[in-house]
Parts: sequence; structure tokens; C-alpha cells
Amino acid sequence: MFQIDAKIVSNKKISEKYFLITFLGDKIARESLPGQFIMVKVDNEKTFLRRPFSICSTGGKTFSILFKVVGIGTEILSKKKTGDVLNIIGPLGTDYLVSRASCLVPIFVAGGTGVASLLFLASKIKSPQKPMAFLGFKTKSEILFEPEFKKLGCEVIVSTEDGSYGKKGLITDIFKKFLLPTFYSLLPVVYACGPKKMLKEVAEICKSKKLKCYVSLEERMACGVGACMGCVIKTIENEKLKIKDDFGYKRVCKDGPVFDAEKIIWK
Amino acid sequence: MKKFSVSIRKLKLKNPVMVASGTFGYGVEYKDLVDLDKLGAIVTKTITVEPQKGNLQPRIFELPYGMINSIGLQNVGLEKFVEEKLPELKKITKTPIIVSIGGKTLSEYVKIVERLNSERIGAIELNISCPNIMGKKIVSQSAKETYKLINTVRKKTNHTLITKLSPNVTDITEIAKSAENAGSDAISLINSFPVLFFSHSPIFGGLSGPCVKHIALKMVYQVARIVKIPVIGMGGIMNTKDALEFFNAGAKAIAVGCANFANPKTVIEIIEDLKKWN
Repeated sequence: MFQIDAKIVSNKKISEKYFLITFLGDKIARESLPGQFIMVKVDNEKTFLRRPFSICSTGGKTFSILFKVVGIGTEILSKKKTGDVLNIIGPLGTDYLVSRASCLVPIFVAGGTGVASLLFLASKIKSPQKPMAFLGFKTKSEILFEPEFKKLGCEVIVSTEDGSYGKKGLITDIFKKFLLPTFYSLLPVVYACGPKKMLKEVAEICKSKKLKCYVSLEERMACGVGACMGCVIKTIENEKLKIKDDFGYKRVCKDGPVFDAEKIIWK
Repeated sequence: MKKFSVSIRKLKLKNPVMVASGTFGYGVEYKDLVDLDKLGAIVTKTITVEPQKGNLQPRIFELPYGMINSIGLQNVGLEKFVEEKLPELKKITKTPIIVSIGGKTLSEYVKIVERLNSERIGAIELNISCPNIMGKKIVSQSAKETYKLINTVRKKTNHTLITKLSPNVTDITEIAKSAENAGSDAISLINSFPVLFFSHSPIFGGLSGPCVKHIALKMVYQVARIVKIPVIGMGGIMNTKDALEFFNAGAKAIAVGCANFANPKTVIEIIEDLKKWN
């Protein structure tokens, strides 16, 4: 974990509302693992807290993040120029474990910006089988990284909610239809990143098919390092706490963001 | 450098800058980002007798000028803290550790204090002002209750006792005086301000950050003039200028709170600046 001032190498609009920003910072580039994230101080006037972003790729001395403009923080970030310097803390949190993902048939299920951490994972794994990538978006203009996943040897299935490209519908439905007994007897491992509603659905599908599933979660964060207890999620574990009920709160920033889907209480 | 150090009864601080409870976990979380040895003291997350799960999500609400938290004192509980968290922190730093403690009843405070009597710690901070425990009155909103709690705890321990007060009172000097009379060795001002925010449903929380700085400054100023014990000032300290305002208001020491989230280096920057000018 480092705190650095990182210079922006490039900030590109790559799709409707989506930006890919690349920073110079060899320490973070060197240590980042797929699934981990960084905390970015986007400005000192209009925002108080840092913003968490999954690491999308690393290359030599650089690392990139993908973001969608959804609020004031990402709005400011979208206007940053090459050469601007931002203060960044990272890499943070748990990773997907590349070694675990490399041994079996991996399936990626991504929704929106969720493609970022899974593209990073896809770029690092060495799987004996061709990985499958299910990528879901709202509409054609928001599609991200389809060629990139293909280039990494994945079999890619894209869906849009409005049917303007690829298969029509939610990616979870497409994923569910795909999971025929002949395929899931190969015991694939599922890696999912995206909106909570999507992750819950993927987790339920995997549970019903008895498939191992790892999800990368998002929560509002203040510290990003496990100190403030702000970003917790309900889990069935409770760290041997002597509390009689059956749940405990885990920190998304430190105990996650990557969790075994079985451990999450989705509600 | 002699002037730089501060004493609060038995507690000796090499510099007057600490980190505020709840914003620095159990200390170890920040070890990669902050040189813990440079800090005046580390105030831990509030500990309760039993582990606490804390409140439902959402727990964090950001404002342009600060934040609201609704954590609800999630912590590992007294035993795990003493057995694991405290030794872990002591292993990596010699900086005095101030253990923040909280309870639902007076006997819970007594139980924690008695357990901590055998531990080598810098001081105990009595959190009698957390705004985030539903259905429980804030002790420090009553001068009488404040006196009773501190007076009882005082008889059970020889540790240095700091009392953290709520700003949400009619007359802060009355409460502070009561804390002093009951045997508190210092006063921490201020805890977060009780507020409400909407996230689908209304949620109670504690407001902190630059937006409460001037409330804190006023209270530090008022209290420092009426008590003989040291006042530790906190509330929206983001930089050295803010810190100096608190010293000017009468604080003997200061604590950096949610600035740790915005920039973990803040506390070190303030210490380095103060050293230069000392």
C-alpha cells in the first residue's frame, strides 16, 4: 500500500459516459493484483472523501482505471488532463487470486464498469480452457472491452438491455441459459463484478448449480484501508465474535472487495 | 523541543498532535501510510465490553465540507482488543496509545477500565458522547450523569482519564466543569454533531469535518477558560492553520479526525510544520 502523487498519462473517453484514465506510478503498477482497487483524491474543493476505483490494467510503470460519470467526483475526474497530478492510495483490498483462477475453467460475468477488474484478471490468468466472458450493458453505445477480452483468448458473449447489440436482455439471464449440465459438469469457477443486484443474481444461479463463485463488491467508503468500518457488508461469518446471531459485518475495503459469494448475505 | 512536548497527568506526549478516535481504526491499518512513531498519541476506535456489529448500511454520507457517519461503534470487543489488537499495535510503535471506551451502562465502563488496569497504555478516553447508538441517551448531555460516570470510573483506575464531550448541549462549560470536578484529567472537544441524512429513509449520524470546525473552536475557547485541566481540541482540522487556531483557542493538544480519510498524511504534515516553528 502506497500513497503517491501520480501524473496522468492519458484520460480517454472510450464509450458513452465511460473514461479510461492512465496514471504514472511504478510502485502501484508493480504491486497491483486483479481485483484490487485504488483510492483517488479527485479534488479538494467539491469533494471531501476519496473515490475507490478497480484497477483495470497495469503496464510497466503505469496503471489504469475505468470509470463512468455518475456524480460530482467522476465528473471532475472526467475533465482531468494529461499531466495533471492526483493523489492516490493503493493497491488496496483482496484480489481474485490469479493462481486459483488459472487452474479451472473460468467464467467472467461483468456488468458496466465491472468489466475493469475482470479484464485485468483475464490478462493475468493461464487457463487450460478458453475462458468465457459474459459482458452486459444497457445499450450499444456503452459497450466496453469486447475486442480486448477476445484478444486475451476469451469467448465473449455481449448483451444489451435494449437489444441494440448482441443478445437482448440482462446478462444474468443469458448466463443462466448458457449453463447447461454438459458445461457445468466441467466445474467452471465464476468471477463476477458489477451492480449489486446483478451479483446477487449471479450468486444465486451459481448456488443452484453448485458452482464456486467469487464476486467483487462496491460500497461507499471513507478510509479504504479498513479503519473506519464504513463500507461493511453482511456476511455469514463473524470472525469468532461471541454473538449468537448468524451474521457479521465485513469490510469491503479490507476483507474484500473480492468475496466468496456463498459468504455474502444479499437480503 | 522541550516546549513541544505536553503532559496530561501521567501521559507524556512528545508532540501535541494525535489522531482522533474512530478515524484511525486500531492504528495498524495505517502503518503503511503514516509513520506511527511520529504521532503524539494514537486514540483507538471505541471499545465496548462485547463485540458490536454496528449499524445498517449506509454508514457514510459525504458532504462537500465534511461527512456524516453512522457506524454505530462496530468493534471487536474488550477481550479481542486486549489480546490481539493492542499487542499488535504496541509491537509496531512506541507512541502512547489512548484507548477510547464506550458502554451502555456505568458498570460496562467500570468493567472495561478494570480490565485495562493491568495494561500499559497511555490513557483512557471515555467516549460518553457517541451520537450513533439508537435508543440510548448521550451521557455527556447531562452534567449530573457525566459527573456520576467519571466519578465512579475515577475510583477504579489510576490510568490518565480523558473525557470526550458532545457539542450538542446548551452549555458546554457546565458539562466540562462537571467532568473536571469528577476527576477527569483532560477534556476532548468535540465529538461529532448529531444530525440526520436521507438515504431512502432518514438516518441518524454524526457530522464531522471542516463544517464543524468553528463550533469546536468556540467550545474549546469557552472550556479552556473555565477548567484547569488540559483541553484536547478536534473538529475539522485539515491543516496546520486549523491546528494553530485550536491552540490559539486554548487547546493543549489537538487531534486530527476525518482528515485522515481525505489525506492520511495530514497529521504528519502538521507535526512537521509545528516542529519547524517551535
